[in-house]
Amino acid sequence: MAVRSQPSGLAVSAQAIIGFVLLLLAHYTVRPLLGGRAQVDFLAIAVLFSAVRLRPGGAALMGFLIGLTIDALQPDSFGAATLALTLVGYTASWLKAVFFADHVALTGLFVFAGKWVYDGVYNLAGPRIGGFDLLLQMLLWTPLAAALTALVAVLLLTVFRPLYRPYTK
Amino acid sequence: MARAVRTASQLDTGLLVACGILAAVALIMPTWMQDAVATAIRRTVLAPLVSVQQQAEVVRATIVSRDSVQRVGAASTGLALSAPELANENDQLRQLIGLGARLGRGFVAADVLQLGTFDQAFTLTVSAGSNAGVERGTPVVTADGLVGIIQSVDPTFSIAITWAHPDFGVSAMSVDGSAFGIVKPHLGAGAQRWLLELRGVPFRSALEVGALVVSSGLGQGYPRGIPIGTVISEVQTTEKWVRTYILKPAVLPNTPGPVLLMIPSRSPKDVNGVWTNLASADSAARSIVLAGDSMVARKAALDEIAARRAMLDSTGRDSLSRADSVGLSGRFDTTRRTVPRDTTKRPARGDTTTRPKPPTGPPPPFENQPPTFAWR
Repeated sequence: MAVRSQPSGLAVSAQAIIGFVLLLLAHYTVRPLLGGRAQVDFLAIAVLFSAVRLRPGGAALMGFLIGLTIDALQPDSFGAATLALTLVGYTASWLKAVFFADHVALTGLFVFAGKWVYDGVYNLAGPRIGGFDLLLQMLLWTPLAAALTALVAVLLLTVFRPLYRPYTK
Repeated sequence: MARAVRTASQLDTGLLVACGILAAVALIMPTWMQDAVATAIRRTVLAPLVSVQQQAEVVRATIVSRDSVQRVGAASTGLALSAPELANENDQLRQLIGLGARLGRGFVAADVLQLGTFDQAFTLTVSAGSNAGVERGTPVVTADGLVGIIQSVDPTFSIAITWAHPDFGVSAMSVDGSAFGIVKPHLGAGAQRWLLELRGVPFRSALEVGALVVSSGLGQGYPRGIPIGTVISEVQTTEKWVRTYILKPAVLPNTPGPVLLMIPSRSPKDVNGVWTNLASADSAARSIVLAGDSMVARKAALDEIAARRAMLDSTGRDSLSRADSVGLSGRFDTTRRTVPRDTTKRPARGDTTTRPKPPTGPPPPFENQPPTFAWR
């Protein structure tokens, strides 16, 4: 019976860091090239993929730090992305502890839900939009962006499997 | 073992609570403190990433323009030039060139960047910062009118709030100077959110539908004469002694294209006549086109100069003979001095040869105006 060998802890950490840095760079290099109103959120993918590997507290802290960098470029809604990604990071990590399957479709759903919740919290806490605009944002643009983000996450998980596959015990 | 798990769980909860509280504090802390923190992050951790993103934006612009060039190559030149997108871009650039020529000094041209993760209608990131002389409170304009004002400045880029931002406000007046008020965003629902309000207009100063509203120059933020919008209708409010008007903004904030930043310390305080009305911006663009490719206009101007010189020479000879007769031969120079070199060249400028006269006169001087309004 063939036994799948598990990489060492150091190798797993190195892969996670490389994967995270690549997503961070992609957010600032690839995303501007794509354009469009519904955009891929590589930072959300980075937070969600990392949250799966971290404890909930660490995931919350990472979401907080990534959120701060997003807010620094949007001072109009300073703090909103920080709060949203803190909650999303913690919840994603906690959900991973409850249930997580190494399944591509489920990962896509996981990213879709994470991005939608992130945008929802951000829109409610941050930008001063309301009424019909908020409804349009939440029911049209946010799901589109979330779907696009989930699609890219699934693609990344398939193509760069060693970097983004979560090693759970 | 159970104790370790409990401790880790408490640590997780503690981290979540701490991060949550810090995020909430970030949300509610004063704007100046938010700006300070955001600026510190942008100038340290984010500086290389923002630089990389700016390069990526340039690459995207190159790719987009390459597509455009390929389309032009595939189609005939005439069809390509009439392509709406290209024509719009040309119009925008011509208008900006015309605007820049009219402003003369004290402005910096910049592109609008999309640095944020979310769609931004209330703020814009522009590709010019303190290295280019941009400072906080610099008005952002296009050839159509006012876009917003710079709120935060970094060395290589700046962040501006648009007129749609709830904190936006500008002291304004009608073009003829008969009505003064404060323009703020109209905080209505749906599409009405993208309109403006002119508030506090004295009851005796009625404005007609379609009247152009420009910045009044009162306060320290905006020079006088930048178009803000046109009157759509009057709103009935509980304040019976003042009027409130709904304005259609001169510039939509989501896609302003290239912009000009009017550096307050260097630009003129009064730009009245640069935009006088929306039609004059178009006429400026047309005149630039005429000046650029019309050899006929240049020849006519040179002929006119030659004719003037001939006339003035004959006048000078007459004056000299008269001056000699009374012993004032030095007056001959005075006659020549009345024809300065740049005056004779002025007809060659395209924007002065065909500019139509504005339908309404310039606003009156600064005397007899309401008290100063300071931009916050």
